Amino acid sequence: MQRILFVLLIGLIAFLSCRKDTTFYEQTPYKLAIPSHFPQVQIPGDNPMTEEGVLLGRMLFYEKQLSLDNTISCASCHSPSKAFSDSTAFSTGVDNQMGVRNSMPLFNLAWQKFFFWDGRSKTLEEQILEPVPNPIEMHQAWPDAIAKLKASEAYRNAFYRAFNTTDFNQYHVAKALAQFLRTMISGSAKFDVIYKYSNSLPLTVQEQQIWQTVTNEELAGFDLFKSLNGADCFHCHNGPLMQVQKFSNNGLDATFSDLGHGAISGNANDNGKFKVPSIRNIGFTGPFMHDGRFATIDEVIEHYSTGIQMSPTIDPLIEFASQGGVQLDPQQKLELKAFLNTLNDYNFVTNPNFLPLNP
Amino acid sequence: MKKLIFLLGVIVLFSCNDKVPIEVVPEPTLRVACKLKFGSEDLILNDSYTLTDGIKIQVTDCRFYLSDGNNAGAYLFPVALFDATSSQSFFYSVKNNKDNFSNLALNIGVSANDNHADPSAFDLANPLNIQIANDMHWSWNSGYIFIKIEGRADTIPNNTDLFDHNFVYHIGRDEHLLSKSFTGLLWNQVTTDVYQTNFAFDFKTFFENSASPLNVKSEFFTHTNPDQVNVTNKVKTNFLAAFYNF
Repeated sequence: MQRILFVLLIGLIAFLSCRKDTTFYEQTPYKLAIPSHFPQVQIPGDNPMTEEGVLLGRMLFYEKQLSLDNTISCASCHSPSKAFSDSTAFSTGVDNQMGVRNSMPLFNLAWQKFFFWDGRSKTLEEQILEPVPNPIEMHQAWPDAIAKLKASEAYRNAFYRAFNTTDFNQYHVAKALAQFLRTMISGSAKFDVIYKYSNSLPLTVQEQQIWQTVTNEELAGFDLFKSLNGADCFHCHNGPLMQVQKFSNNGLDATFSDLGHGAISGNANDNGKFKVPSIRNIGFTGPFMHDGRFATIDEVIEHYSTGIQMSPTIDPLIEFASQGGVQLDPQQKLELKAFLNTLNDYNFVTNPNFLPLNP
Repeated sequence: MKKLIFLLGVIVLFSCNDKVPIEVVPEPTLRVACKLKFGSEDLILNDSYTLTDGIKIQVTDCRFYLSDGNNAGAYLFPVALFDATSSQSFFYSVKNNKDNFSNLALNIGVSANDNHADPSAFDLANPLNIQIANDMHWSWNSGYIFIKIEGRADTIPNNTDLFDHNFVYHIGRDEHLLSKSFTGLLWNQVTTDVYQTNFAFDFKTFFENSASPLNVKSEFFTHTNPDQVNVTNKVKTNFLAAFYNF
């Protein structure tokens, strides 16, 4: 009798240890942490934010199997410490292929109306589909990338939890990544306190303390930033997002080797125009411009001060183009730079929620 | 038997119901549209048009806010944004009856209350929400740009095109809110239930208003700063002259 019971016990233990995990499909809504002074966000109806989707997207963002030789993930060209941009003018893909435009930082994407420097993607989900098969980036056909992911039980479970399917495809991958990317909100820099104060918006106790640390130099730089006769930056770098949603020729070149948005629209009036980027986190995101030609903030300031090049499609808001730029003196340049550095959001670049799950 | 007859009678009574279905008349839709003109011809952005003095212009951007559109207190729209770059043929649409709007008074710009409100706090569909306003809002307390007109000019009247002279007219601030009234507002029937009133903005009149012609060579920009008051006032005067209903 005891032997029978012992055998039954061993059998039960064996049965329980061999039993497969049961995964359930759940849709736990994810609430974005939107700063009080930011506008509302419109989430696409076909990709609502869920905890499961965001978690899956975070896994995928750091997943090197998305690349042909399993060496490159999204994070390879969008590094957290660089506010999810790259430290070089052009990024290196598999096969050591160089990119042709500077890697754009990834933050506040939920508010963007178009993507890439030339605006060729109208949605974040659409943009995400490009890098994986791009020969100069991850250079892997989507079916192959999907096959690699499907070989992983962890991914099969994660996709099931997020999308109620194990027969997932690139569109599920794009949706999950988009959900994760939309959580990457940057809105807690010193600038945000300055913005709220100057717009008479209420400050929290902590923000009031930060306001006390704002220097005269930073405030002088802010005045220059929004002054028509100063640096005149605000026409394109405006509001809490520190950008306007438009394409602009900011006087980089007299002739264009890269047509920018003009190559997408086919309209010659768009030649030399590129998406106006946010200048948030400017201390982390160099080098600057669509081709990464400026290594430092100082070079950017010098461009707008004396380096403007005239061309037929130059933005009419570059009002001092005929004299080369706004002609700031050395003190003004220092003040402007001091203000620009208030845009650096240290909370954002160190947020553990954006880092790999298993570093 | 009596019960059966009674039951049959009830059935007959209700089956002979002579109620007629009520036809639901859909509420009409009213649209507000605006065309850009250069004199009698339509103006297309980035195309060239020649002023009387030989100077050529290309308009690259034209946007303005209209607010408090009403007829004796009956409101057609609280606020609307005209954007010449939009592909939509009309910029405001509402369910209402055109007979309520045989006349219309409106402001060009936004009220002081709205002008100093937090642009992030408006509803997503509201033209004052920063996502829609975009660069029509100065990000500090000055508020919204009421009128934005931008473009290029070739100021040398010869046979060689050289559009190297930019013009930028940005009008804002509470004290520069404009008003205009239209009597006998024209409504065109688009479909059975849709009516549209058409406004026009004439750039020829804008630059060549006989009362205050705007010299694009020397009067080519304003951001409504105190030291730009002359150009600001001309832009305002000429805007009113150039904006009409047809």
